[in-house]
Parts: sequence; structure tokens; C-alpha cells
Amino acid sequence: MYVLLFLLWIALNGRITAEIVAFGVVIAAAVYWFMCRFLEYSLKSDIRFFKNFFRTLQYMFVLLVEIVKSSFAVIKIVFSKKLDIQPQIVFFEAPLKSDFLRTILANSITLTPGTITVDVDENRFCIHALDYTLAEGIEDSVFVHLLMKMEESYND
Amino acid sequence: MIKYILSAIFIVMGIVVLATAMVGNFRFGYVLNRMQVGATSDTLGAALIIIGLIIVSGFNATTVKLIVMVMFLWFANPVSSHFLARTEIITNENIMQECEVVRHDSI
Repeated sequence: MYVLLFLLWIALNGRITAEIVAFGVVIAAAVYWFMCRFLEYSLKSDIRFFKNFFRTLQYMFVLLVEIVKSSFAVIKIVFSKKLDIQPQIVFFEAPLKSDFLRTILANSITLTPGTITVDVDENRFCIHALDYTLAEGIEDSVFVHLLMKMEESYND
Repeated sequence: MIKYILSAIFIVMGIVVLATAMVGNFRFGYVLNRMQVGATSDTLGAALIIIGLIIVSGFNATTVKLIVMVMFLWFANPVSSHFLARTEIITNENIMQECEVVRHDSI
């Protein structure tokens, strides 16, 4: 994470000189200290992230594919002649324990067009879907499976 | 030359997606359906336009800034639409008329 912050600093500056690198080292350290102190961030979560690096990449890829797929579904609905849609509110349970992963799941569901997370209570999710076809099989989607695998590796 | 054509294709695709969102906003009647089309088509539309810009700019510091922009949009967008949807569902008394409620796993 420290390296990431440093690279972000370099990228935002746009060029590499001695001063910028020196300032970058100090400022990245300060921001990292702030994250550890106040945002419940630690070296342990860094290691956890690197253990799940490939799964994270896979998750991002799956998320992209899902976004494109459901975008086309929504575009098809918008341009259909008769708007015969059946909006649904779906309640379902996802067996995730950590708050972070629940947030990720809720965010990905909202990010995919056609579904919005309305409420999350413990592991109960409340979803609004534009059409019932978009909500089909949401309780054991690819997202849930991938996040379950990540959670298993957390406990190791 | 190919660079510009490719980026133009991406930007036009993004504009089409955003225009779809606008058309959808006028065609639907109910708040939540409008929001679905409006807020969530932004994710793909904005991303496509920024991909087009990345192709034009080539690989340098600007690219990283544009990628950071996409990430920011994709993190912020769900939060705002979630809050709007939640407020609507909590305050609307006749929610059952607009959408059917389904429960899984005996909740």
C-alpha cells in the first residue's frame, strides 16, 4: 500500500525529479501512518491483500464482464417498444462474515446496471431490480462464490 | 491514425450509452426504475468515454490520472444510488404497487 501511495504521488506529479521523489517518500509515509492510525489499516491487511491478489484481479474481470452484459440487457429494455417490465424487490442471504466483503458485494451489485442494493442488515441483502430476469439467481451469483473463497483464505 | 479511430469508436459508444440513459429517464415513470437506468448506465458510459481518452493520450501520467478517475466514479456512484433508493423505499408507503417483493431462504 505504501508503494501504491508513492506511485500515485509520482503519477499525479507527472515527472520524476529528486525533490518530488524525496517529498513523495515523506508524504506517502505520513498518509500510510494516518491510515494505520485512524482507518483500521495494518500491515496484516496488506499481506492478506497480496495473498488474494489473483482472486482480486479475477473478481475485477468478472465484474467488468457482468457490467457489460447487464448494460446490454438494460439498453434492450429501454429501446423495447412496449415497456413491460416487472420491477422486483428481492431479499436474500449471503453467507459472508466480514463487513469489508459485504460492502464489496453490495457495491458490485449496485454497480451492475439494473440492480440496486437497497439495504444490508447483517448478512441480509435487499435488492431492487429493474426486471425480474435481472434478479434471477442473484442469491448465488459469481460474486458470492468468489467472495466466499476470499473469506476462506482470510481465516488461514 | 488508427489510435484516433479506435478512441473515436469508444467515445461514440460511451455517448450512445449515456443517451440511452437519457431516453430511459423519459420513458419510465417510477422513481426507482428511472434511477436504475440513469444512475447505472453512467458506469459503462463514463468508463467507455474515459477508455477512449486513454487510447488518445497514450501511456503516460495522464493515463494513470484517468484510471484513478474511473475508479473514483465506480466507488462513488453505487453509494449515491444506494442512498437514493433506500430513502425512496423507506418513505414510500405504496411500494407494493410498484414492485413485487420476493424473499429467498425463509427470511
